[in-house]
Amino acid sequence: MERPTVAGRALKTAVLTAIVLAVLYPFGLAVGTSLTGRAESVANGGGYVLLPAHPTLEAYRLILSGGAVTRAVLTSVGITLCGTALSLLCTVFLGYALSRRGMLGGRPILMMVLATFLFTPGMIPTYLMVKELGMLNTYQSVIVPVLVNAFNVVVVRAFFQGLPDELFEAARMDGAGEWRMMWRIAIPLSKAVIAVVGLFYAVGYWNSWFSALLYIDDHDKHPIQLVLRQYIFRGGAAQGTDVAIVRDLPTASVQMAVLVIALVPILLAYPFLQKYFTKGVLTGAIKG
Amino acid sequence: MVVSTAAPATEVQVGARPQRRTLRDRLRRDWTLLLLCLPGVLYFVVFFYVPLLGNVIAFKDYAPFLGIDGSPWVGLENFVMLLEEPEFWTAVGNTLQITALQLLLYFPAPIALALLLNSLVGNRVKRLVQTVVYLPHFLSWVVVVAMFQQVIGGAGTITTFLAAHDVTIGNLMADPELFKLMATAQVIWKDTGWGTIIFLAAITAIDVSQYEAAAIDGADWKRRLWHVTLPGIRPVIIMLLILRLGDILSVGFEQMVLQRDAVGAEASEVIDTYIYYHGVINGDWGMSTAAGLMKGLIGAALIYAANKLAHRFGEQGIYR
Amino acid sequence: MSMSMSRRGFLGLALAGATAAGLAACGGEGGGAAGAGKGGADLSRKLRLPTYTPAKIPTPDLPIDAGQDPSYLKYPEQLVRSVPAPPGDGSRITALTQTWDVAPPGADKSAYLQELGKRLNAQWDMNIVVGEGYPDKFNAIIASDDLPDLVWFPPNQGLQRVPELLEAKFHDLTPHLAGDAIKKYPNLANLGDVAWKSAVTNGKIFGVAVSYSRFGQVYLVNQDFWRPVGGIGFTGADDFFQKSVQLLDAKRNRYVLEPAYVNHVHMFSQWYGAPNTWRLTGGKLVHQYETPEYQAALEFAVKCFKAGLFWPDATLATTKEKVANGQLGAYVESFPGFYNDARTQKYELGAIVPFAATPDAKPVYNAGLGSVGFTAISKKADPKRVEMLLNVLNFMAAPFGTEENQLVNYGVEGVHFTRKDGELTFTDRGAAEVPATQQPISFVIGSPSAIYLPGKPEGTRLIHDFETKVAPMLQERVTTGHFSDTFTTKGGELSTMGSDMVVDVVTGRKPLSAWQGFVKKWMDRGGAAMKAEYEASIARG
Repeated sequence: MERPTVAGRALKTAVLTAIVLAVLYPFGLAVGTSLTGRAESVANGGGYVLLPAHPTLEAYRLILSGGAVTRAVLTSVGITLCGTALSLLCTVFLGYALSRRGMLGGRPILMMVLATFLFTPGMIPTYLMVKELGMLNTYQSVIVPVLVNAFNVVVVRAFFQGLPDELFEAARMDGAGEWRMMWRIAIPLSKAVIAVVGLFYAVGYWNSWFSALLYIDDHDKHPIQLVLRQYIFRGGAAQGTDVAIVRDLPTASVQMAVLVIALVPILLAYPFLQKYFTKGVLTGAIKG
Repeated sequence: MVVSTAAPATEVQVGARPQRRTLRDRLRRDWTLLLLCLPGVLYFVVFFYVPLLGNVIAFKDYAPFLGIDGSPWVGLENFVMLLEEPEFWTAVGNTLQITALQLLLYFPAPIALALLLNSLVGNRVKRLVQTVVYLPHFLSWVVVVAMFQQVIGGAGTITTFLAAHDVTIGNLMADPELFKLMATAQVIWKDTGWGTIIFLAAITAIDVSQYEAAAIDGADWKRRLWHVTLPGIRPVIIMLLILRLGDILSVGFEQMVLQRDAVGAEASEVIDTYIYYHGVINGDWGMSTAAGLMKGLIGAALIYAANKLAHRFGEQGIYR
Repeated sequence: MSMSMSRRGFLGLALAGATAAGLAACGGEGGGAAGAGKGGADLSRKLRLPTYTPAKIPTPDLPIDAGQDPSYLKYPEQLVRSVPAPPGDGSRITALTQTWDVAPPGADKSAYLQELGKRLNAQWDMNIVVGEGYPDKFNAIIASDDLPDLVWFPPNQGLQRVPELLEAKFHDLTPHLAGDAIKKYPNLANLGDVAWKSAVTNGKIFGVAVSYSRFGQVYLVNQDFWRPVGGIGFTGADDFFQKSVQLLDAKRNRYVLEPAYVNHVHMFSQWYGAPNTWRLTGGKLVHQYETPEYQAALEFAVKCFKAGLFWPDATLATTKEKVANGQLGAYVESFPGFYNDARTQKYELGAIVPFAATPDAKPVYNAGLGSVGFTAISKKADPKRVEMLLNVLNFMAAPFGTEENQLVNYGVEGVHFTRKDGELTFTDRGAAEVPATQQPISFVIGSPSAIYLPGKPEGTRLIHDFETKVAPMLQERVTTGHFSDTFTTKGGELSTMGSDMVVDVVTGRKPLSAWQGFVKKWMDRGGAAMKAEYEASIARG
């Protein structure tokens, strides 16, 4: 590639810098605020603080004490890993099959998948199904009911369809069946989209809390997002009780600490996935 | 996705034999594929289609303790109730305006950013920028709105700063006229980075040799962008566009409710908030289900039409 | 990428401050009995409410002659034992409830629950729904017919067909509780008749009222803010306005009123003497929206908005911090929120007592519901178990100053709290276990309000003083205990319609002249039907 013009590069740099700042500034606010203590927050009217004068880890200490959050993080990591793996398998299988033209029943199945993109079953029938299958109060209940997402199937299918047919033809000549072609050709050449869809699923599992609220009564099994929500509500709670603890933390700092805690695992996992969707996979050699 | 995008898909059939086969033959040929479909299909039947039968409550006066069978039929009453209120149509109008703005302003943003990122030479900068831009997606709407308010709200940093220098810009966050643009700006800020991911993945699927060939032909970066990259990701763009059309009647519920007081119900009522405030809040399951069904049907019609249109332009669309 | 959006139940998050502080405290329409429902009006008939029999409690430190809550400057020395023997039968008692706090430790780890189990002779086992998900979980559990022994019925949460549901799945407790029958459960008899009204459906008592303050919303201030204009005594609305304008300093981000417009209109309406939602004269009802008093309050709010007295952004999550640092002058709280702020805020708290807006206005103070829903008993429990459950609830409802109440609210002495110089202080263990466990309990069963703020006697005095001043102008809600089908089917919608319009008018998006048109529309959409139904119900007594 030849070098772009100086003006072009300058413009690009300016645009990118602006974008990065527009994103980083609020995150600076989030982190800064999470480190702000009561006195400073009050002096500041409770608003967000970029650089606290007297940073304190009090908000994190409050949230992480007692072990509930740590346990919930582990629970969520488990749910996310298992859920993502299962979801990816089902999605890739289905997407691959549907990408094969002329498959028996391919069109009706595709339509059936697409319809799920448009309508939503009610909360109560789904609850009753989960109950019927004996999954109430289990970890499965937050994975299985949201196992496959039609959008992801359609995306994966489209990528598989975009692969050069010659590759499959050649493999067929060598006597490969569909199973082998999927593993040997389709999947290795589609790492990027699989990484993306995996990320969608993982983020979905990581952020989910409503299914746990509905299906899991045992608070020890609750995932991180549901537990963290409690810390956000707690700030405003004054119901009933004649006793409350004097909580010396501003709402904003707890809220932001919650945000940071929930974000850390995603930040850690991202680079591992990122490498798959930043470099090209098809080279002229394959195409032949 | 790659070179053969323009080639009609029907050209190549599995097994490459166009004549009719018996069901038995096809079963024997496709059993692996059918088996691959099984887990997904089973999932959709058990957790989508069976519970979906419960949506008959759109035609019932449903109460959870009576169950679906026990609740009385009310015919189309739930639909009529929804459609006869003028406020509902205000909500439809707002929804469509906001979706239109989003399609116009938000939809291209991740594509542009993905192309920009892709054009970066330095790999390190590329990764850094990428790692940063997807972050806002993880902020809840409560936080996003609060942050916008902190910067450009009536008591926001910029507003106060300007006011101190005797420049009055008013409260940009409380202007009903500006609201739809503001809502779109918020979506752009929150989700542009996240949206690039799928386009970046599409770009990786472009055969590198095409760039080389283009470079040999003396194409500069603009022409490579125009003749290689964009055509390479076009099918993905079109697919996402069609899927978005299917979802045209849904716009950020949470985002709207949070700003309802600031700009008023007339500017911010969208279909989903209407259903919430006129159905869900009264415990009216039938009406919210009816609304969901209608949205689905309209979405289906739009997907169907958009897909047809895509075919007319020689595109794959999302199905054939 | 709409697929990854979750839209359900976020409301609690968005409005955490507002909802958490008090369900029954909304200023606008809401606040009827959840029990009122389809067909309820027809079936309503004469019922004897449980006879109010005050329980024996330690003598309060401040007078209760005007109907104030019993107030204690120090924790009582001598506690009363109100339940002589453990009421349970050794079985497990299940309850569906919610919390706005973090989840409490489970029974195996909680010394609190273990001790409670011992004292009850029963295992107290709650299914606790976190925050705003309660209606969803409630409906799912009802639909699956997995009913626990005790189910909390919240007010105003869009639960439909409550009367039929109660008839079908829950015990009619009238024989146990009506009239003098309640004397078998002295702590329940102590809850007061205001609270019980909300537990009545179809002329039957279907649950135990969950007691809650009978005082309504309070206008709170940081005294320091108002000192430059001589404090928070006002001679009229104009005086309030003049002083507020004087204190306003927008350039330095200093405003007078938090941006909860509807709540402020509610406060102003008390100064003008508007009704507590409905006014009853000669058997006829008039809604507050129809009254000139309410419209005057609205007009005053418009004037305040035009003068820039309200915080310029419509939502504000950090009101308390801004009040604390002097950036905001006044905010509206529920009564329990008043307790909480009196205990926790470091600034000198004050409460504006309603005053006459104009020389000929008659100021009022609007009462709350006195309950936060009720707790019903599943039909799966046999008659003997029903009595046992009522006995257990009787234990849990013990008033302040009893041993039982101390256990429920503070836990075990030495383990959860220590006592020194007449003050109770939580230990670390207590702080971790007690409030988080007590809060979900407080939705299943409450005790009558009492004021005791550990280590903050001046807070107790402030609240007591406020109660003393507003007691003579206390205005009850005339429709409490009466039924309107329209209220259950349309109440939420009408309430939103009203608050949307109030906000539109106050912020100047709609002119005041549009109000009459709105009221007519509101009446057509269900307001008139509600009025007729309430009138009919009141006529029947």
